Amino acid sequence: MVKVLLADDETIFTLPVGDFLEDEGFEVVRVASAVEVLDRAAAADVLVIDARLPSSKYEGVDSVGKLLRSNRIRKDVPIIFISVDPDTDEGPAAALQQCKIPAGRYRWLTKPFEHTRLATTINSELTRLRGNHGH
Amino acid sequence: MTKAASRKIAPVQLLEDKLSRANTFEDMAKSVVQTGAQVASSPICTFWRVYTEEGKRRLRLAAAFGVKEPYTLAQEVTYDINRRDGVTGYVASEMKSVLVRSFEELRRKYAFCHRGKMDVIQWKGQPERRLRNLYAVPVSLGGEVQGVLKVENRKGGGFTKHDIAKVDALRRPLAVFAKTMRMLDAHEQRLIEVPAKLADALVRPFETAQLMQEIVDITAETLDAKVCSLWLVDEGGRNLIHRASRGFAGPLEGVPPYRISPAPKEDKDIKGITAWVGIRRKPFWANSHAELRKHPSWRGTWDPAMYGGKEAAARRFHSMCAVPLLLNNELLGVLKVENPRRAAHFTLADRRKCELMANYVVILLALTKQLRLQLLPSMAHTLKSPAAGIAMMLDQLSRELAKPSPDLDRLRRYAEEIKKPVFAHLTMSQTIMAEVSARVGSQQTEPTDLLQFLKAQLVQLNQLAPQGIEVVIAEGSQPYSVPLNRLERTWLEIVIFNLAHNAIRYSPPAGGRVELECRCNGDDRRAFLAVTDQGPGVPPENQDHIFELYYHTVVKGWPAGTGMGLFEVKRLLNQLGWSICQRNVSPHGARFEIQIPEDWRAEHGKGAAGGR
Repeated sequence: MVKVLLADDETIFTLPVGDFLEDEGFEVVRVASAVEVLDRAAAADVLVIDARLPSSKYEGVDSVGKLLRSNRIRKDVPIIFISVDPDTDEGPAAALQQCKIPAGRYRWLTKPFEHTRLATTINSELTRLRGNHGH
Repeated sequence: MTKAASRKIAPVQLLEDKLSRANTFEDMAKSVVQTGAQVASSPICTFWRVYTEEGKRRLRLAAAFGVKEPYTLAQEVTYDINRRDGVTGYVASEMKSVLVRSFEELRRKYAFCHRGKMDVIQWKGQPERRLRNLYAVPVSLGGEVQGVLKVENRKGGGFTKHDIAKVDALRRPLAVFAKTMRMLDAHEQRLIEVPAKLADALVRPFETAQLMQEIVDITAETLDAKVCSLWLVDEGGRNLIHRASRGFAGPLEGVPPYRISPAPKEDKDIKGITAWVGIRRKPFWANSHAELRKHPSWRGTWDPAMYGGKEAAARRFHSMCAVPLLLNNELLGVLKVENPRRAAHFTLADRRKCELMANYVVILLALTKQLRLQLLPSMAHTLKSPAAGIAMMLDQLSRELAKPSPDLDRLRRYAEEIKKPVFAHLTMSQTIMAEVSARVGSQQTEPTDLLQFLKAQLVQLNQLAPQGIEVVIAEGSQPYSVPLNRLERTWLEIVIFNLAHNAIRYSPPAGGRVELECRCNGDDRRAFLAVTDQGPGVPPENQDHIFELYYHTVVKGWPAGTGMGLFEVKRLLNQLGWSICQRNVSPHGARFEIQIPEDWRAEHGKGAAGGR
């Protein structure tokens, strides 16, 4: 079973998204802070991370940057950022650049999104990075 | 020349001689008192000049000779001209000279106005021993007083007729000097007032067109210009658009904007001097229409709008100064002033002032830009987040409902979870509305029982609180009535809603209890309202910061706050004249206590006192 690390500090997102992914057959680990992301990312097959974690800072982006730089996640682990701001906005764009996250390494979903879109994105990323259907 | 004539001219020549060597206004003022002391053979001479403060004319020291005490003390001394405030004030208000030969005479004749304001500074607190004589003369121009010249303690007896004649001879040149200083004062004062006026324009209900017009009006008034206009670069950076003006004679419709992009290489290909100022990023000034026409970029396109026609422009135009508005080398626009009211043309000093005004305008434009680029997106994020959460929850809710056998436990959890963003959204909206509502509202007060008021809030708070958390009225709460107007009741609602929202966020999810309390403190009749929770309390290191603007903490599972809630709570309570403090309670929890001062309404000066 594909293990998804779902990181968001607001239950209003983790509850429906987590339930949906479980219904779709994923194993979901819910966390609410950047520290927990750093602790538990190594065991995950997919990262779904709120870009702002907490909402005043881009610690979600920052934690992924740290994981990539220290090679603590595998290269075939999809990274999906979720945020109410599009990644073209000044704040997210600056955070991604500052954390040196390459444009092709992540996908960005702007909240609110349809849950099915998240499942599609996870599956297409798994296919792209692993070369097979991982789910 | 007669002997009398030579006596009159000599002091003036002496003064001219000293003034010609002065390099600063301060040196000039010192020359005046040195000359006064010299011509009257006196060890002390002071020159007081008129200035205007809050519409009232007063006298202050321009320079002193022979005053050894710290000069700054003397500079603090002022005389109100209209109230016969001191002998100096009397000389100015009555425009009469005063001559006394002893302190006794001064006290006898001028007891009605003598205040002794300079006694400590000039006479070491012993005027009766040290003041020997005094001659004070008004200095006026066209019947308007401009200052007072005083000489004191003439050596070898009192002032002679010759001394008096010499001092009197100085009055006219001194009046011109004093009036010049006064005009400079007025100019400086207008410049000093500019930032406050612009700030005032900025904080009024935000309407860009009105703000631009106020910028133009303030600029025109500060620089005494008949015509003033503000041109800002459009969104595409191609044109300078007319945004506001004053003193334009013709209609604005149909006049094309100034094209600034692409920028022509040759000045002759630039259409209009305003466009030239924007493109070349250089100030421009001209002191005649002929001078203006000589410029290769001149077109006169806006002449009909500004002056009512090209011929009229040639007749009416006198002087112009145009300055580019630059922020970090980015062109924001052009500020133009034309035709000074009180002179044929703008001086070099006027042009400097125009540049200063342009810098103020740049600061203001930068502030509005900052608001648009930073504050509003941040606010939008905070407001968008709960709405996005609700949308996603509803998506999942409908998915669950579409199943043949929906999981009821899940549905219950979803319904519960939706309360949080709704609660957060309502609290934020109310807090933001507090700013808006602060500007309107009836002053009519009505007795308001605070206990009933708290009970009325309970219904909505319990609807929004997550399951397992209960909002209740604390045991022992008492009724307490205060006269509040409609606006103040709204403020209090916002305060209680914010505090309760805060308490609920920090409450333990299962079995949490938030208490609202209203009590009167026994004999001293001071009342308080309190909101207490059973959460972790506020860490001591955070207690000093919780009421600061934008200070907020993150609570797991809850939407983030704006950092405005507790700040607004304190601000609104301050407006009421009430206070708030926070302390932690045993075994765990935070308590916010609102203190209502004894006989609050009486102290507040708005009608009947509160009471049980």
